[in-house]
Amino acid sequence: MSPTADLVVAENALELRGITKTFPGVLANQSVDLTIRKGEIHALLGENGAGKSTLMNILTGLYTPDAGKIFIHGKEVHIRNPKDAIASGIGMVHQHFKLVEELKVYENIIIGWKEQGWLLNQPVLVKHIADLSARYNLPVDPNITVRDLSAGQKQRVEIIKMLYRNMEFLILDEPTSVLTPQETEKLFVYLREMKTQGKTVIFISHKLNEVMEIADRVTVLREGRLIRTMDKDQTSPKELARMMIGREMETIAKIAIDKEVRREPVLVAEGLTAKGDEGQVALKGVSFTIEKGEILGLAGVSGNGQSELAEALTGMRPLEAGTVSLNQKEIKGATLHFIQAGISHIPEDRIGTGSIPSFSCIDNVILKSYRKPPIRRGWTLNHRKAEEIGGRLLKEYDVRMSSPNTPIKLLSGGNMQKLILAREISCGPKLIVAVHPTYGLDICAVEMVHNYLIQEQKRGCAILLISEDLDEILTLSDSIAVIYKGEMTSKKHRNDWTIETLGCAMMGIPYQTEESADVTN
Amino acid sequence: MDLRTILWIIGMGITAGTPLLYAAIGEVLAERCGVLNLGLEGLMLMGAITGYMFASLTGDKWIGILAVIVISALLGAILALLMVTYRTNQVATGIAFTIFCTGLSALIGKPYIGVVATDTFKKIRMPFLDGVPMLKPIFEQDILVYIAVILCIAAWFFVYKTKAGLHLRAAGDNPATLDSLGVSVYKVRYIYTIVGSILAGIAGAYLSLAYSPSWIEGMAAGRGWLTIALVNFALWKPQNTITGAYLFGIFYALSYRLEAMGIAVPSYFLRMFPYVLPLVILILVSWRAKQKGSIAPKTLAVPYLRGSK
Amino acid sequence: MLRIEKRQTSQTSTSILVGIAAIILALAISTLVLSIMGYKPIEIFAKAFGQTYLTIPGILENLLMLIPLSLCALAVAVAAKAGLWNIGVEGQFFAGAAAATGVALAFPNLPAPILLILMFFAGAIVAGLLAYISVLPRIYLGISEILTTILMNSVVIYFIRYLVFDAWDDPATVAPQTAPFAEAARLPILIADSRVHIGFLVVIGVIILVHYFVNRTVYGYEMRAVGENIRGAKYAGINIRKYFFIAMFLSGAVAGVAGMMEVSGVVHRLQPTISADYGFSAFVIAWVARLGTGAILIVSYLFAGLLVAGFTMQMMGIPSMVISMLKGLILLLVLAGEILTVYKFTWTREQPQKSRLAADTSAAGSVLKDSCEIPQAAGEER
Repeated sequence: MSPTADLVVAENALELRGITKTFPGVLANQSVDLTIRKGEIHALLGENGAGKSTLMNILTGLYTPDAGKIFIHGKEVHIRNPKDAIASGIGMVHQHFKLVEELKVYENIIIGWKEQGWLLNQPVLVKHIADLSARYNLPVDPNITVRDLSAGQKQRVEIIKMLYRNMEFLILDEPTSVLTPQETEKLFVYLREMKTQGKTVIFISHKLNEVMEIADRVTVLREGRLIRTMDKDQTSPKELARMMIGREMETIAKIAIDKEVRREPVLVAEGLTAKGDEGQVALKGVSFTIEKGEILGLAGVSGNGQSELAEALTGMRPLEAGTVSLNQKEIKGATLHFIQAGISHIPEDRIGTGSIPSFSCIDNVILKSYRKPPIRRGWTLNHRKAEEIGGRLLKEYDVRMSSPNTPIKLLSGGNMQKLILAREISCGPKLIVAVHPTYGLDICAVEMVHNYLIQEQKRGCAILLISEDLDEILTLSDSIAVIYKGEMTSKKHRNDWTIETLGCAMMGIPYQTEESADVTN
Repeated sequence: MDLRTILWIIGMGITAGTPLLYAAIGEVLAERCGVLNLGLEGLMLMGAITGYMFASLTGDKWIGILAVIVISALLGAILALLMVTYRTNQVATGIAFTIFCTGLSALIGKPYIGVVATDTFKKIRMPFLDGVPMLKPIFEQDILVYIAVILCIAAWFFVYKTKAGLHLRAAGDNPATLDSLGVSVYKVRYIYTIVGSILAGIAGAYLSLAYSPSWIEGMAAGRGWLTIALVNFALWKPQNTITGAYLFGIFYALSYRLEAMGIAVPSYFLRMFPYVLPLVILILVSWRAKQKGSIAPKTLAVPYLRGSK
Repeated sequence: MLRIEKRQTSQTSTSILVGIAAIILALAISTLVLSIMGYKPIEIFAKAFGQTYLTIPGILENLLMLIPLSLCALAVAVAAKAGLWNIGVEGQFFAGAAAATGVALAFPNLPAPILLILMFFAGAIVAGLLAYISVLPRIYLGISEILTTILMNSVVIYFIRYLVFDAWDDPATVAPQTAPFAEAARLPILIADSRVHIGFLVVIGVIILVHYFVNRTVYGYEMRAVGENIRGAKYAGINIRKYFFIAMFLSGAVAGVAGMMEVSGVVHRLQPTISADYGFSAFVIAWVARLGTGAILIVSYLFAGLLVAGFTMQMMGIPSMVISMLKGLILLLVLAGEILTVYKFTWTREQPQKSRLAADTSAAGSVLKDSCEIPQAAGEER
């Protein structure tokens, strides 16, 4: 980094003044004043729910602010829709890639591009894109269908898409959440390259170490307000953390379970083979065990068979081959058998899988216990008992809602997850399959989820924790395994892994040196 | 069955399949951008009566077609308003719309029952076929049959080779992405709902001005619903509609021809052919397609709202 | 500017208002169309609806018409509770009628109660199986049941034609119909000096049963779960196929019972004209009633009147098809009006009021603490 860059009062390339945005009952941004300088990498730091995404969605025209103004190079601009944002040179790489999976890479890159003529000349377009990817050193094959790409490759497609449109400002929303550590390093190289070529980068993250590594300046958001903007060199991770959370961080009291207590395998999975939704083989003979009171963390880049594994273990996906045994008893057939055997499932999609959206909170919290008396009475459902038992659970797990009869779809993500935990834990499971259990939750909710999982572990429950968040896996797990393209490494104690070895395993390459850990296609 | 009969059945099948082809091309476009338009049956009926009415009033079939285009575009805009802007349930809307149009077309058409339109579409004589009379039944068709074939090829080119076609595909598979790139999903969906409606209207006009030149209440006789099956059969690819349409058309031809040949099956069962055989074919196709996972547009019949997941 | 907010819950009162407004608006539009076409709709409407809704014979006719309509609408609703579209109610109605006719013609000498019960179950089971067959391609191959049910209608209609023109044709009459039923195969009259038969009581019974089944039993709870979210239901260990079967069979059976009662209670023989487009009318009724079992009874009565008035209008020179137009229009308007029940429209000034913001700030702070993904949570669910 050139030392003079920080001394000169750089031109304010992008300025937000007094941005306010409310959603019914929620104030997402409150009078935010943000200044971005030309050619800098500006990190926007904050917990989930701090209002980062809302702010950036305002910049990209997906939301219109209730109040406030936006200036680009000193001139006020009105961004009413994505079109305006693109015209102003603002491009965003969303956390969930905005790519059409069914289309080819080159098609994705030119969607909506104004200067594209009405006819698509494939060879010319492909050449154009190949040139561009060479110039920025972002390797990608324009002729591949996006569905067949890895997360890291998809992200490169997104970046090229923005470069192709010659965007001046590049916003990246939690770009590292889907990457392996090595891929993250590469991303940082690309970002620095873009900076030298004059682009301005806004980097949204909640990970302190990354921000400290890549950013020139940092802005911290909390509860919808801008706390402070400062140069990276004049702050410390500790200070940032305090500003971000508003209090000192607590470390989770992870109690090592006495090794002698365990040694008793609860789950034995052998040779699990299953197909994915697209008919591809998603699991290729996965075998592992989880012992009593063990948390097995399963790391891996999403889309490598995690969802299929979770579904296979909970009976939601039929197995082509292999067996699932719980306490030496094989379970097969209907999902119900898996539930009755004592397997709980915290699914990744809370609203689409984990609940019946239009049912009330009560009807959702009894979704697995209604089969047994006293809620069931012969043919009928005893609504009074359901309300009594369900209501007690909702209270115990501190689910906040306007009434127990509110449809679950109106709950916030954190409360929805509490409700799901209440249901999945209260049945006293022998095995919990938790998939991205803290995804999208704010820090309080994350802590709560972690505490419940540890409490269950102490009770002797076996837990399979599937997560993309390596920090989460490393804090909670006793042992860790990695899944890559439907195959699983053998599990090892968490101390036997390093970030590097994990990263390599996540990319399916043997751990050697930096050079060989390259992931060009 | 001799060769002549087979060729006759194929030729008749092409004629009978042409209205399905028009409607299917339009419906493929609509469904590819995410709009399930179940109002086809109603649109066909309205197209049939509008075309017939204007053709017999003015004595010019092309004015009839022009009127069909205008009226169908209007009806399509109403459908789009409901399904795209108001985000109504697309199944309920389509069926309600068909019920509405069934009534309205019968009401408008009452004075035209038994009226003879002077100018209708006639088969074009192909002089070069005089040497090969066997091929006559296949290639001697009216002009609308040929236009449909051209439209089908054009639709394939449009969907896969043009920018607008790219946006159309994206609108059905991932509207949020399209929106974030500055292309209005609403606009795309409006356009193809309207285009689809126009083509369904022309399909109806084909029935009343070419296939059996007259107006009969409810003369679409389920062809709108068959078109929905046809789009499914075509796996949402415009180039496949032509095979499906002619195949379904041949089922119609078969049911008439076998009856005329006086086979021992009561004609009522033969009349089921056009409805049963497409289902059987669809089941077979889906059986094979099932191995490959779902091919339907990802957000078919799901209304789009910016900012929603 | 116009602010649009999603309501926390949809309001019944708004729904009812929207329904009434839709009916009035649909009548107004129909009047306009008919006027343009040179009819004199206002007086004819007034006369026809007056006769239908305000005179005793009219009301009795409505009650008679209500029997098949409400049962068919119930059939649509039962399938919809499991998330299925049964557009084949018309065909199932005929299948039930044909099966009952078959029993009636085969055993004319059985005592009345036994024969009627046999006819009842024959109608229910045959129609139920027909509906079930229609949903099999959906269960195993993912082919939309909308297609299969609707195409099955045409198949059944041609089969009925075969029966009345050919196999079961009554040689004594020229019209395509079967021989009249024996006395034992006819449903008793409920209200003296009218055609209202005891099928009316069956309707009340079926409504209570369906309501109880859907809302009170474990099976109903599971079925609703399947209808609201298939994946969620699967996750909860519910057997999806079983409920597709139950819902579709029940739906078909209810429609079949309607068909059985129409031949046994009103026509006393099988004719190809026993249904005045009940299938689509039922679809409209079920959706206008928002699938509520009680509401179906009320809406069915209104629509029964509409159909009865249609016959009167036909005699006065207005094509009966105007009723079909009216039905479609009412549902279209109800669907369009749904946006009023789901969203709240308020006019606000150009700038958001400061006071509102200030009031919200404190509340928002607390919400923020335990809420996540604010934009998504606050955005629309679908």
